[in-house]
Amino acid sequence: MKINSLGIQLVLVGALIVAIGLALWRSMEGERLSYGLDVEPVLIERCYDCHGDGMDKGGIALDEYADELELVSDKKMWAAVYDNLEKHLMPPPDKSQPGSDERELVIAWIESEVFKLDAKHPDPGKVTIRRLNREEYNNTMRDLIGLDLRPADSFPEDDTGYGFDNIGDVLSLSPVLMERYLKASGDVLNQAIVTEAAAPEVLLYNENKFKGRKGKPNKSGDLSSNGTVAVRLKVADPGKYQIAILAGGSPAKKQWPLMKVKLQNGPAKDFRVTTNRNNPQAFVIEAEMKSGEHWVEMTFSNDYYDPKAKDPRQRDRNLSVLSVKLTGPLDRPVPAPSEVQLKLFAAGEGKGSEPERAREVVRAFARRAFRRPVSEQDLKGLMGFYEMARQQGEGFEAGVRLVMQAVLMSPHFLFRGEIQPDPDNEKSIHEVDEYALASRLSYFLWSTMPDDELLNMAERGALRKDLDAQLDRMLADDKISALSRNFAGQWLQLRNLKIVSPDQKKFKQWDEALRAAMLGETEHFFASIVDENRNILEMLDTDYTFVNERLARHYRIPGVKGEAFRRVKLSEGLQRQRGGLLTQASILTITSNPTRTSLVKRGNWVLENILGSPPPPPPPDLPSLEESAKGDNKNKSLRQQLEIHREDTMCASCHNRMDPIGFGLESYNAIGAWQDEEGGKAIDASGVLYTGESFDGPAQMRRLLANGKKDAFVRCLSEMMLIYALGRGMEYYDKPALREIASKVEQGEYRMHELIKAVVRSTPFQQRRGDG
Amino acid sequence: MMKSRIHRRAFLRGLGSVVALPGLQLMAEQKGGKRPQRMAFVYAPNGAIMDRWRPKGVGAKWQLGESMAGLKKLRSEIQVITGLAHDKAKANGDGAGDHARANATFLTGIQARKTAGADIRNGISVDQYAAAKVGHLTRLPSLQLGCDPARQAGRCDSGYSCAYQFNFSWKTESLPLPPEIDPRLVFEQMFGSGDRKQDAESRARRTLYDQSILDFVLQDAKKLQSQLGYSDRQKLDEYLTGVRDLERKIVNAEKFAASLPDIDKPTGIPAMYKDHIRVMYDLMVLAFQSDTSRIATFLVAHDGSNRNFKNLGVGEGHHQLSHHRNDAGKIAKIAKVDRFYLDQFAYFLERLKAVKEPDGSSLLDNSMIVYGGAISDGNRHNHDDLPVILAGKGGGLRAGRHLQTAQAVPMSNMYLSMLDRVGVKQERLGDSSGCFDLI
Repeated sequence: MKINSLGIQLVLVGALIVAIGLALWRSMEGERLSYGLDVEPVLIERCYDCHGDGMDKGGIALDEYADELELVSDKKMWAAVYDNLEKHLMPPPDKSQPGSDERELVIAWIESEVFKLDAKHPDPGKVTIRRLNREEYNNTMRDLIGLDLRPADSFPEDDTGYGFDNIGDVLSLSPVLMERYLKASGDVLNQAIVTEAAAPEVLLYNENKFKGRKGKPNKSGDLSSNGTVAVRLKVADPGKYQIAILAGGSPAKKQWPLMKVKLQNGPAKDFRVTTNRNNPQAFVIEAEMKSGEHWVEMTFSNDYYDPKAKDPRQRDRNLSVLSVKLTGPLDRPVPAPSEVQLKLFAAGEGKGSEPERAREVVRAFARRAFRRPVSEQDLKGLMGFYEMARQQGEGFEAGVRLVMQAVLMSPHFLFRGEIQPDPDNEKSIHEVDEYALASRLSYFLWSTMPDDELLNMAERGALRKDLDAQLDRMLADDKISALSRNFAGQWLQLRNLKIVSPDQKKFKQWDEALRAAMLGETEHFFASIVDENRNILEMLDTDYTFVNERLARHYRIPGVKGEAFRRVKLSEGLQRQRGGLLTQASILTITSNPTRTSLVKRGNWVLENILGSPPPPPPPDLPSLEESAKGDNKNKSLRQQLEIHREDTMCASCHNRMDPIGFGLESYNAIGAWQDEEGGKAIDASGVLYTGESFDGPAQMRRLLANGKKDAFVRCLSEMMLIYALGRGMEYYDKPALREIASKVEQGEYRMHELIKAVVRSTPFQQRRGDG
Repeated sequence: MMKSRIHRRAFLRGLGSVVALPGLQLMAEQKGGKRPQRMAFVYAPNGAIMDRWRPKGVGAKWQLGESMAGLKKLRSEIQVITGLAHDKAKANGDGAGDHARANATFLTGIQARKTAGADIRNGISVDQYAAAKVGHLTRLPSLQLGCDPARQAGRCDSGYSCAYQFNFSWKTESLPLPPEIDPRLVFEQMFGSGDRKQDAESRARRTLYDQSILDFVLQDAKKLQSQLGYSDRQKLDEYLTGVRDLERKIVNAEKFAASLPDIDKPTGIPAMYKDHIRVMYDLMVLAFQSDTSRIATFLVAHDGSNRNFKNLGVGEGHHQLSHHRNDAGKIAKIAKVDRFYLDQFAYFLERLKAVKEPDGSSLLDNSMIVYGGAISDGNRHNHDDLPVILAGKGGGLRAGRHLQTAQAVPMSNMYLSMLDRVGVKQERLGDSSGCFDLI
């Protein structure tokens, strides 16, 4: 039988395919894959054109290692291979593409043989102890104390890592912050638990408030002849008041001036003023006063003037009134305890003696503050503060308040620690306990402490068993809005809206109302996807959005009045312009420069936050591509310049991925308004994605992304959400968990709640291990 | 009466009058008549247009560069130093991220560990070496100020955690000290909130409570620490340090009993950037004058800052502009920004110069003020030939000249020499290769 060479090749490729299928099947059965037999043939076929047989593009040559051991040890290189295969970045689109079996095979081999991941015993990783960040501190205080005072707004800003501000490794605690904790805890507790009457008000009346007798106009406080200065005192709350008159004068004939102080409908008193004007003294009367206005009069009645007196200091007797100070009420009662205070003390009701009641109040408070029960021993230590305060002569409530402040300063409150049996043993893998699980859930979804129900479930050991029902409950709670503010706000970098400053000369429509409206749209949009459990792919392409009047004007959507946001269905014409995150002014603005759009920033933003394949940063010491045009090219359009420079292969590998997406968004100016032309030239918003699909305009592009790139989007969003949920960056051993989440999302028809639940169900969320 | 009222307004608006501080003058007295020596480090972002920055002429015969026109009256109080370098701000194998690195390296001389989160590692900054040794002599060991309105969300420069880009004072290798941007909070940090005038008895009781709480949580944290793994224990160390620092501060508050200066508390962040910068400079003067602290850092803006300057007719972002591609228009605009920042610095120096110490010298005579950044040309991101001014004659610094180094000298060498002048004997600092005694 004669077989031609093409036939041989076909047979060989066919054999390879069969072999791969078999190998994958074997690996699923738990059999180890072999590099030489299973993996290398795929690499030779698909990769060696550039990375073998003497080629080493990008510095990678797969066949230049001394032996298999050395090859397998190069984790960094294989992690890059893994990423490039998974995200379909390699082989490049113009080369022959491996089948999905081939990709999976190499990925499976890297996981088991390079990363040494054990599918039966997945590594959940470890989370560094996390201090509450500013947002969490504010919310936790709100829910713990019952007052929404946002004390952490004056704390130093939290540093971010991996794009989020809740990363344990990055959240540091500076001495200044410790000082703020002390002040914040004292201030909040003083407002919640009031044990003293409010301090009296002090009102000061200066010369400009002085009148003459019976309110006659304008009188100076300096009386050089007999006369009266009057001041109208304003009393808000009735009670006992003190009126202090600051006065001085000059003597004559060895006598100092007399001053009669008379309060309308009140007492009168005579004073002898015996110091001069530069050294005035206060003269005080006290009186019960009703609310309303009361005149007080200061009358000078013993004027004397003798210019011929021998002693020049004894010639002219005058009175000077400098000011009148009203202080009171002096007898304010201690206010009745507020509802907030009553609630904090509720646990002590009917518990016997004061110390016993205090103890129960503290036990309940510390349990909520520490998010786990407090031991008898710890309770005893805390109660020392109660005793100390009582010994200092303070009352019951003030004593408890001091203990509470100690609780709020404790590391058990300020940090979310997860105590585990064998903390320094990385082989010790276990489920996080029920209390830790409750905290992980509440800080992930609500950015605050677990509520009573979560804590009670944890105490009964029933939380894990009843997880789905609890998740549904949490997702339906108003506090879920924290997920939009804090997760979406950071994932999408919306918080940068606060710091952008578009050039107002160029963009006359830009103002603070527009800035606020932009944020409002995206927050409402994301929140509706969470609240209504919508399809997450709507984030890429949809036919509705949220606007208020200001934003509707920006988008040229007619008929929207008022500041409130509402969902609008976009007309067919408008759907060409809007629909999905990439068309929202917030995102288009934060990815622009103050005076113009930035193709590169926009493209990079989409790669990083939507497709999860950020280009590596440009090599150092090179000006960015966008900035490097010179000579003849200077007068060419940016598009032309970029096209010229993409011919440079070093730049091309990244810019081929970024720039087309940026071109697709050129229909929006630097503050996200639609533009058909710029500077008289029609906008060209066409492009070809790195993977070969071409589009004309943003509408086509977003459709391409929603259909063709949904896997990449789901993977990216899952990764972002898992980082946020855990408070740590992703490691190679998280790959299986991420894959699992993505597949559950796909099975769950891309519903938002499926994603959230899959994150919660994942190994790294449910488990942890000791430190390595 | 009238006089002090004028001063109050001046403080709030940052207009340049000297704040009278009766009663505070004496606090800075030292035995033997030696005046306390102060140190400040001011960061200017995104490099400079060196052609307009660089003085003409070298040595004592020199003319200020164009951008320094605002410093004309201070010519004899400063030395402009050219040729210093920060080698550790270069990539050195770490790839892109020059702005984050410049910011992180400026006071540490250390190659910041490239990480987006896990294992943040930089070096101890020069101000903190000084604070560790002489910080106990004042109520606050050091002050950290800034003017960046809010931090960037999400990722910072090319794979570096934002911790590197928004802080530049580092207490330990892993603990940055965040700059405070609100003048009111800085003021309260210095003098207490002074909200309610408490009597001596209740103040003493409050101190007892605060100290007892800190003592208690310190023990609590140690107990917790013993139950945690390695990285958690490291993290909790920051907490322990914070508690101990606060304990010390409470003790110091008793020791250096400070009366609230007779000036109104600043009310918040001024709307105008220029006023914001100036009020921060005012606070530094106040800290030095009242001897509340002798060491301060001021991150006027982080490296990579993309702020625009509408008042100067510069609508583009500063960072965006700094990639100027030698475009004359852009260069002119950046030079305007350089000049703006230098003008504010001149304001600071003038304030320092106007405050007389009891021996007749000025605060500036007893200060060492570094002004500059760890990027030279924003277009090239080079980290040699850095724009640096060393102002004041504290520690016997020379002044009134342009000092050009023969070859690239590590900036860290200069820091080492500065530390030496405040009596801090430090063998090495970051990438230092010795002292730079020419200053």
